[in-house]
Amino acid sequence: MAYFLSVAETCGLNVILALSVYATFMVGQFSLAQVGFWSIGAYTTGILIALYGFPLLPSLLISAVLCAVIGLIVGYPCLRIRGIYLAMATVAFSEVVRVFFNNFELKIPVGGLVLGPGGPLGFRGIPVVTRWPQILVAFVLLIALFAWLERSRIGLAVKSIREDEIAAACAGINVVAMKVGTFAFGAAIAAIGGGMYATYVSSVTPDNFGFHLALISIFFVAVGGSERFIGPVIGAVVLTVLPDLLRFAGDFRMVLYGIIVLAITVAFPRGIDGVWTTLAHRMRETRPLPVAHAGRS
Amino acid sequence: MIVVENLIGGLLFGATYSLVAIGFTLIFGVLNRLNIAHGATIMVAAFAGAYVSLRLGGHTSFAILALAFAASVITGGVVGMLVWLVAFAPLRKASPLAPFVTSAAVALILEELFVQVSRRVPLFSPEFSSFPSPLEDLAFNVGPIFIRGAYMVIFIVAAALMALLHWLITKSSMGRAIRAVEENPTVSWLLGINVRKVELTVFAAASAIAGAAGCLVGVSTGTVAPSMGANLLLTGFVIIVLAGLGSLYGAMICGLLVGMIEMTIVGVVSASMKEAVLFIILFAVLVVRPQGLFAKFAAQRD
Repeated sequence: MAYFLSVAETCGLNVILALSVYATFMVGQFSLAQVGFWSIGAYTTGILIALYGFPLLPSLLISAVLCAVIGLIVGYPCLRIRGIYLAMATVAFSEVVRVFFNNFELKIPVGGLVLGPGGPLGFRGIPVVTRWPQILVAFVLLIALFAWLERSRIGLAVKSIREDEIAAACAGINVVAMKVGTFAFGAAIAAIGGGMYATYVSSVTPDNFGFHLALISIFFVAVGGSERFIGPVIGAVVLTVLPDLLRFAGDFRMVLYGIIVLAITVAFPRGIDGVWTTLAHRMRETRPLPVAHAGRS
Repeated sequence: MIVVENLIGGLLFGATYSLVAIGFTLIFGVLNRLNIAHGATIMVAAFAGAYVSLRLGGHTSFAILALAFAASVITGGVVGMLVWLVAFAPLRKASPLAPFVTSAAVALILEELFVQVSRRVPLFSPEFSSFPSPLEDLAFNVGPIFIRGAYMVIFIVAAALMALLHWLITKSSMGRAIRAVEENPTVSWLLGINVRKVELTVFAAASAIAGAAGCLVGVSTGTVAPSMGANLLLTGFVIIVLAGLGSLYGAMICGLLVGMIEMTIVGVVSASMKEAVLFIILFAVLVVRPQGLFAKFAAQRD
């Protein structure tokens, strides 16, 4: 039972990461910066709780606001560039954050112990204050938020930007504000997720948040589907449970994991959420053959 | 003096970065997609070279080194074609996200596979396997400046490869086809160019060059590791954005530039700062001049 609970908890945390990636993806932006915000959130929350004795909720909110502000500052110049260029810039951002924490030391004696981030050795001894109830609350709130957002005017505006930016601008939507806004929004969600992650596992190192995690976070969205918010949720859950189902493969578990991600993406480029539309599209493509050819015996 | 030494060493070693970036940018130019598996291809090719060298005892003989180099180049080319076949060919109509994910998945598969290979194959060792070469003890002194022999060899081989590529791209008919597809795939297709064949050729050539780079990096550091691909991939990112996506000659020059910056920072400041400095430069260039230093295409801006 404890095992299933821990898988469910990890699923919940990964759903938060996936939704933070999706938040910028909604406007058609492709960002790998979420991992950077995730680690900023993890460290900020960890420092506030472990070193200054803050409770969980205020520290998460402070982390979220901090990352939203950084998101605005980074996002404004970044979002003037698009597509591949943005992906590169956001990779650069995440790597700079990682290197920063690799060189960041802040040791403070707390109750007889010296705690705090210790460069490449990481940050140990963060109090474990996030358990399944907190994750469940965050999960439900986020799902509700995204469900509301998708049906709201903002959701419509966001969708129209993804479909056709110029048309959206012509319809009076402030494209740049929308893009920067969703970027900061995604950053805040990532910060909350990172903060919960840090207070769940109790120790983080800068190498937890490398390029690898950035790719995995994109896998969540791509495998699940990027058209509705439910896609990343499915993707995160499937790809969190998958390594546990593949235990029989032993050391080659992650190889098999990669093969399955590859196979799903090749078979269903729209993700699991888009399976039905992909299949329907294929059915339509294979038109019945003309009688003259079909009747050849 | 130490700065001059680092600058020269960086310039020479940077030639491997140029090779990495050339392949990367060539693929981007033709397919308009990033090949995330490029780094993993380099890693696999470097392992192939190290295997030949370890098997035949390549500590003393230059002939074995040449053989190892050939093995790396061929392995690189073959892996590149497989990457195209698995990750790019089935997804020509899909959104740009799909090939990004499939090539990243291939990179993950190869990296995890070689973590196991280096643990299980007795010739290799976990984490870092050695790549013996006769270049290890070779060194020159030009006046007061000390230059590693391996760097000289790397630079000469890389320069020769770049010259060969330049000739292929500008003079051969395949090179003309590649340039046409780069310019406009649809019109090229209408004019009777086999776009799929061009793509496959570009993948094979770019990955073979990447394989050469993998061998040279392995020789110069004396080791190969499953994680070397990811680091080279990120360096490749920086270079091709600095150069401007799709700019071949920009990639060559920026590779040397990045090599110089990196080696100077490692030598003068600290090794842990090199990535941060590179990525800050990248970030600044993207914000100020998103089309890169040697722009070929105008970057998309609002």
